[in-house]
Amino acid sequence: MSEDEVKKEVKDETHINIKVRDMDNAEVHFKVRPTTKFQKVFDAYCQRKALEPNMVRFLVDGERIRGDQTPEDLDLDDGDVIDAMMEQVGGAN
Amino acid sequence: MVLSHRSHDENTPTSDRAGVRDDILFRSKLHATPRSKLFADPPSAPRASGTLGAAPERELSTLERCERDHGRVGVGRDEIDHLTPVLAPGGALDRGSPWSERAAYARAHPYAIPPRRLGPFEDVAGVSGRSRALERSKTITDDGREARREARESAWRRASAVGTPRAAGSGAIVYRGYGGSTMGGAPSGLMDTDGERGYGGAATFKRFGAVNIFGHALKKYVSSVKKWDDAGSLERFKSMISSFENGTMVGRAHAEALEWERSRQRTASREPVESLSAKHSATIRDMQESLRLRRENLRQVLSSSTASALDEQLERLTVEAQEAKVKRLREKAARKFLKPLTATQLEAVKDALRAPSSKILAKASFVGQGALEATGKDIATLKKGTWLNDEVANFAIGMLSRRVMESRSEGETQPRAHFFSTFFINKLYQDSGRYEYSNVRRWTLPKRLKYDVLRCEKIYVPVHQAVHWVLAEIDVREKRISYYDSLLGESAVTVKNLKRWICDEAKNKLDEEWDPDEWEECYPKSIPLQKNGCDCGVFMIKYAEYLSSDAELAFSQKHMDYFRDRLVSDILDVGVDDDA
Repeated sequence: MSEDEVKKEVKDETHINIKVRDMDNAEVHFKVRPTTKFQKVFDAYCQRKALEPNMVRFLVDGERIRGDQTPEDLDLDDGDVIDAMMEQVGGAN
Repeated sequence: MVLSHRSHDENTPTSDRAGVRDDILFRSKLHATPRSKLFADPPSAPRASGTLGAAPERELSTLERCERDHGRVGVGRDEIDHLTPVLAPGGALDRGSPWSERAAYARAHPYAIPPRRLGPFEDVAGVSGRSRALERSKTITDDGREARREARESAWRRASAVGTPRAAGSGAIVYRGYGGSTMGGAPSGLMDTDGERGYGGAATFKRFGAVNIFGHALKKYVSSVKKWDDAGSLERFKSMISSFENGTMVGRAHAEALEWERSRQRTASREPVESLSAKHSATIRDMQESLRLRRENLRQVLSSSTASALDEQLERLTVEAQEAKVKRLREKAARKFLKPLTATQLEAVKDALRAPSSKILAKASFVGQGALEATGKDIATLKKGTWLNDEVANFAIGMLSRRVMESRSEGETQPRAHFFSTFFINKLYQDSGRYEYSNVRRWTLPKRLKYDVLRCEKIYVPVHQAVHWVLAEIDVREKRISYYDSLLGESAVTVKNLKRWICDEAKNKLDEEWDPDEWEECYPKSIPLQKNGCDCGVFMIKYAEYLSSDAELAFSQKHMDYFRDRLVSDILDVGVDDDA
């Protein structure tokens, strides 16, 4: 599902703007309904950024967001930021 | 002759004649007469026809006749009678030499004088066996002994005149065959008492050697002990003899004597001295008085300083005991983490490491981190030799935070430690390249955490340095930031930014002004170190685990494989919590 589709979906209802910010501080804006599951947003983001979904972690205020949660569940307001973190691996210096 | 000989062989039974005597006859020079003639029957005519009325003469055997005619020819070895004593000239039997041989000789050679073995002295004295035997046959009286002595001495004089006459410097007789060093010089102990002085030689020396030594000891003793009527000294004399006899030598008796002497001296010194003059006794009194005063002074000084010294001592001991106790507890806590896995656990770990990458093996929600999932792909990073990823690190950290939360006492909201996720540092300064407190301001909202981060004793921050896992520990009480790097790296930037965060956090959440300069930087060096290029994640997690439970960092590189399995097992134990 692309970003445009999400936008279309939320056109006629009350929707909120959320920003997904990656590690380079580049932001991608999504307009979602408060009841939309985040899985849609994640998939859209990964597709747009050409990322493996299991390589990206989405955080709100440091806490992980599950795909089956909605903005409502997390009390997200308009303009809130989601952090997209890339997988980290480490073994040696 | 040959023929007749043969006929004899045929006529007479040879088996009976194959004895010793036959051999003797054959060897005999008298065997000129043929055998047949020799063994023929004797003529029956009486030899002494002139004696009338006499009993007819006994018939002689062949051997007897042979002996009568030609004399005794010899005797076989086993025919010697060793038991019957035979008197032989020369006094052979009453000498100590082996007489049975000589008796046998005497029997075989009735008219010969048997050769005598030389007696102990005769080799040197030259006295013949016959003269000795004659001497012996006399009754031994003092006169006889005297005569013997004279005879010997004269013999000696002759012998030394014939041999090489030598004389020692001291004038003593030096015996032939023995150097002056052996027998010459001082006259030896008992020899002169018997009047036998002058007879040396090996045998004498050997025979009297032991007695000689004892004689010396006795002499010494006799000269050292004055009172012979003393029962004690007699006792010691006896013990000395017995100690000599049973081989313990005189050393013991000597020691006993020394001991006795010492005890005598001791009792003597303890006896009261009566004859001290008045002046001397006054001096002693003075000395005793001064000694008493000094002792008194010393006691006063001691008693005044005792109170504080004791307190000090007590305090020191208490501190030491406390330290020892803490150390014991820390070691005990560390041992807990090395509990081996059971077979079933190991089996489960094996299965989990083989699980498909998308399979969710554990799922749980942790304070400050939200719901985490550990999939097969994440667990697979715990395989030996693999780099750990953030998911596993965060899950492990989450389990630690959960353990700390659970260890809170009843009704308390504040845990001892707070654990950040691995993304904290990224958001704090790493990703944007500059410090931004606003990025993480909402991470520690007390409303959500239900406690104040800065009120915890310790804050643990996993740091992801490009491809390396490091643990930063913020000790809020001690105001110290420790940077635990398993490769002993240091990062001033990280520590500096953590300091800034602390101060901003204090201002934001607690509305307090904290001075970043008060915080101490620390890079611990004596910690377990990584020896390869893949285990730093495990080290980071284990630093956090040990430090957060106040355990001694008692692990090393060799435990890493075990820890990887342990982590998998622990994560599997959390299980899949669908409510999370």
